Amino acid sequence: MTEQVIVSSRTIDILAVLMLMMTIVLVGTSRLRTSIWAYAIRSFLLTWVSGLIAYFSGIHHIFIATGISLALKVIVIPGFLFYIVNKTKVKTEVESVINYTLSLLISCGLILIAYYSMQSIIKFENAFMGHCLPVSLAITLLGFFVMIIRKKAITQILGLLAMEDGLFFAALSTSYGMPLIVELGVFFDILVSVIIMGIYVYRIKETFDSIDTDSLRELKE
Amino acid sequence: MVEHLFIISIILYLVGALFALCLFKWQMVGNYISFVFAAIASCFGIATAVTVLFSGSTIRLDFQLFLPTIIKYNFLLDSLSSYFILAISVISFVASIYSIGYTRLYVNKRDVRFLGFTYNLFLMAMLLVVSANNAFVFMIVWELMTLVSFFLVIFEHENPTTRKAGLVYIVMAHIGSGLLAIAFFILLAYGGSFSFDSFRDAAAQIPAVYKNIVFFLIIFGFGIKAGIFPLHLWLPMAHPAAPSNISMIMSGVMIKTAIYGFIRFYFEFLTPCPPWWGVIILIIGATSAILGILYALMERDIKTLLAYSSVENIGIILIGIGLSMIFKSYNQMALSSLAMIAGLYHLFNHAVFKCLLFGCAGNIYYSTHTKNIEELGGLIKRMQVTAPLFLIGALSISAIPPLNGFISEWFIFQSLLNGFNIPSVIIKIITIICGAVVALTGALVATCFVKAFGISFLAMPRSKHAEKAKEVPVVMLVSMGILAALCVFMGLFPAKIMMTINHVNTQILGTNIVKALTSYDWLQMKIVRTNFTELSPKSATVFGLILLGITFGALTLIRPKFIRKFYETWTCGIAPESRLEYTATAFTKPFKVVFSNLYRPRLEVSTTYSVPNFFVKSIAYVGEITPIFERYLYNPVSNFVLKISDKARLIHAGNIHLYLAYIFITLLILIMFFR
Amino acid sequence: MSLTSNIVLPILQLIVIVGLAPLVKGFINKIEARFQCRRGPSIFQPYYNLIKLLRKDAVVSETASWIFRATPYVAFVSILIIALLVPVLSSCVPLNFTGDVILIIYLFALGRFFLALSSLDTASAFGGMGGSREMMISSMAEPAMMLSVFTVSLAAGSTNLGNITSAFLDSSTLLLNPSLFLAFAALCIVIIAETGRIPIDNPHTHLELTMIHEGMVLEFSGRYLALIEWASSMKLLILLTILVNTFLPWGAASGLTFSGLIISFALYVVKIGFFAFLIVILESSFAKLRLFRIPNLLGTAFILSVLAIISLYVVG
Repeated sequence: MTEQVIVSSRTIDILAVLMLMMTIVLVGTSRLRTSIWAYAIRSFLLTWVSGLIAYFSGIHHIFIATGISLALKVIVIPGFLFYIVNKTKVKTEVESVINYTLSLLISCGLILIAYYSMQSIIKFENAFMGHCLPVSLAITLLGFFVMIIRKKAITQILGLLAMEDGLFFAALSTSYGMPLIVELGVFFDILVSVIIMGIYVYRIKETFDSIDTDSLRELKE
Repeated sequence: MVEHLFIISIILYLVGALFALCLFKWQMVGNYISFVFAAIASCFGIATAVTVLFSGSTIRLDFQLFLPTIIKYNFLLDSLSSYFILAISVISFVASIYSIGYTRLYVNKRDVRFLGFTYNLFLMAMLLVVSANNAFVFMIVWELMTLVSFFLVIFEHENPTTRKAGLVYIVMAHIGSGLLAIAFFILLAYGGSFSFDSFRDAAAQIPAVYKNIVFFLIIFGFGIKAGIFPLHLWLPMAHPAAPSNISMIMSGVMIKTAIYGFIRFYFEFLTPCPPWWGVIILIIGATSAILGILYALMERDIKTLLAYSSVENIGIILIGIGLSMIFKSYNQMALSSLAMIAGLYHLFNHAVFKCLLFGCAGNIYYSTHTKNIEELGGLIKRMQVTAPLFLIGALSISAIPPLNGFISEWFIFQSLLNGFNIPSVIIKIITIICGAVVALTGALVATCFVKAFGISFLAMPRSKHAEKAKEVPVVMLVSMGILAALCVFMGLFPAKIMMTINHVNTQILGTNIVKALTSYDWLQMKIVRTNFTELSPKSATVFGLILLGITFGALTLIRPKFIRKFYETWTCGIAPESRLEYTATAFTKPFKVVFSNLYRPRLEVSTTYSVPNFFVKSIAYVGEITPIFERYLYNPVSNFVLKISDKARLIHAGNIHLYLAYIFITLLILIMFFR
Repeated sequence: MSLTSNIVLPILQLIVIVGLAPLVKGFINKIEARFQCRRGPSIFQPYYNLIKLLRKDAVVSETASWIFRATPYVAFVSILIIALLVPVLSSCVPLNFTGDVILIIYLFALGRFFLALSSLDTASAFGGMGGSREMMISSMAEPAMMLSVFTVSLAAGSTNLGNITSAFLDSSTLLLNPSLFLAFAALCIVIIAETGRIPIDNPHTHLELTMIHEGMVLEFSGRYLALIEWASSMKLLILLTILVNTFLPWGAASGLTFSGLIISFALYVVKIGFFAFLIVILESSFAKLRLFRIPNLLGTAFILSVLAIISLYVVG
């Protein structure tokens, strides 16, 4: 391996680990805004990775995917989420089913499982970009975990987005030679964001409804 | 020659025991004589151990006293048993001197003769346990040790909690003995005789299934004695209940006989062991360490606190032993020896500083008649020698350099760090988690002993007891001073102790790594080294003292006429009194909140008013933690057993014909079965 | 390695750490004041404070014992010993044999042990409160600290800080390891906790109930206070030095040449200044955490450190 390849694969590894750190922030933080920021930063890192991979592989499809995800995940979705948080004036404190220390410990275990279960594949791949697969699995698992333990709809969506990021990243890092799958990933991406919009609209409506009825009741009294 | 030393030591213990019984008229004299005999006997014990260890020889003692065909009294003094004899004898020497002073508390109030008698027998039994070379003899002396220590635990028997502690102890100890007996019978089936030699020879022939069964039997059998979680229940009850000089020995060395058992079995009788055995021992060790210290942290009774801390230290020793087993199964003998050094070093360290701490707790009890640290305080001005001694013990147990606790902690960390040599990834991960657990444990121990020392010795006395405290007799202080000096010595000169342990390693692991573990630096001082790094506590201390001198000199130069003015503490305008002090409960409250999942604290605040809702008359605050293991493990088991025995009572109808019928039916079944 | 360098280097290390420590504090205070649109005290104010305090007599509580009077010396000297063991200007540490990073961690524990004892010694409830909280935070930080240290040691093949620095200096790609990145993040959180900066503890607080570190040293005065203040600023500098010379070792001299030492000193000052600036940004943009939220932050550090070492094991 040339020096450049080592450096670039190490860079991708470091970016992957940073993405994982952002996901841990999602589990560990108690503030809604922080978790949206964490999502935005993670998406930015993800586009960075996919940009790097596109640059090194020279596959045009990945450039397109990078562009789309930059626009969508770094700008549109976080902006939209911030907009909704501001608009609905939900309390910024995140509510969790189990306490934080415990959820941190469990997520630690999840990461361990991810690394442990991927070790045979990593050995096979000769330690080149070794962090990508376990990290993508870990992000997916953590996203799932967040969906389970969090009460608020927005945090659940953030969990879903984390899962999606993990899957996209896994596809990107393992099979950039197969542009079809990457494109499928992007498709899935868009699909998910559409679902998000759907849920959001529903939730917002629900929230407004309840606020409305409350105020109506107050009027009556 | 050596065997004579050993026999003399045993005989002296016996003589001491008998003297205690004979001189019933003059309690004081009988008392002195029996403890002096014990002290001399332990000197002989030390001599035996040192000779065997440094000559590297193995001494066999075979008696055939009565019933020679059935029971062979085989004893073996090899390096492993000598190491334990050394630990036992050093501690019993100090404890015997201490007892001379401490038993004044009981003279003419209680039967001190009995104390002297059982005390000597207890020490003798421990020596025999670690030197027995025959399963039969081992079980006899093991039982003797258990029984005698039971009597010592219930020495203050008019106290109902003491009696309960004794009951729990004897029941659990016998369950353990039963399991050990089964293990011995399985080994007997393959070895052909009760002699340990035949067990050693048969090691290779035992099928894996039986080996695993024996492994678990041994974990439970010796584990109960060692006090590992969750089999620790008796330990924090029995150790505080016993008189302090006995607690010193029980916590200092008796629970270590179980470690001896572990090493004997896993490194000699059951070799080669699969890696997962070591992993289980490692996990048990880590669990005991962290849970032991977490419960110690919440304790307010100083002796119970120390007992829980013993559980923690046994955990750390087991981490060393477990790692050694893992490395040995992967045939990395040098690392195995390193881990063994860590474990055995900590074993000796714990014996020394725990004995010191229990002794100081005994001093506190001697002069204040209370063990509750919430009632103490300000003792540093009243017990001016005990305080620094306790401080040295507290610093050692918290692994603060340059005292001995740090050295073994350092070795534990070095061996855990070497876990990266293990081929299996999952075991690597486990060693790392254990590293985190040891680090957390170390920090919690420091907190626990800041609490223990700070609340009981510093600030103002919180009760009348503490106010009237006086320094204890010189004999007790001298014996504690020996231990404190040992703490410092073993911290500053680790190479000496490592050399001693190296003899054990040469015997059970066949390695000699002390050369690889020591070298000289450019100042020509001896340093300890591993493949990662070097350590020289001696030079760190020397530099520290030099820097202290420079600092002091510089400060004096800056202001030669420095004076201190003494005023009372500012407490926001109120006259300072002891009620304003931080208490032990308050000190550990943050931990109670952080670990509330484990403690499940219960709070009850009840306020009584003189005028309803306006003038508060008194506020009662009850806070306690849920004893999870007792409630969710022991109570269901004991209830189940009680229920079963209730059912079983139906068989005992009291009718002689029925009993005869039982015998008859049994006979018939036996005839059918073995036809 | 000649005998002169063996003697000169440790003294140099000591002088740099002892001399620069108050300056770092002054620098942080000054920049922080600037962030708050204040002019702020002079950057040399901590020196003036120390000199003033050292020339004063001390007022000691009646209830305090010799532990209270010994504590400042213990805290100060334990930090001085650490200063001998940390690579400051050069990756070569002549007194390396004295001990490794584990000894350093436990020497910090020595100072903390005595500070916590002295906080109980004066019979004031504020002291006990500070001591208890400090012990809690340090206990929670300990596992993360140990594991990140383990990660670095395994990557460099030694637990000696001098050897770690020279190992990373020798091979440039060794540092480009994601595991070390995680360890770095964990260590940053731990250092903030250990030195009592925002968001763990507020070093400028004057409200007794919110004090942690300051609560412990509430009763000290005169020379005693000077020693403790100096020790705590040296602790900050030493921890930053460890961070800098482990993860950004470039420019550290590998021997004892005059020009090399000058260059590495300049770079050292710049790097420390950079991290001090980061601390300022952090302190200015965050509020202090609630006490029982601190375990969450330290738990995050712990996860990062576990992750660091596991990924080192699994991926390499």
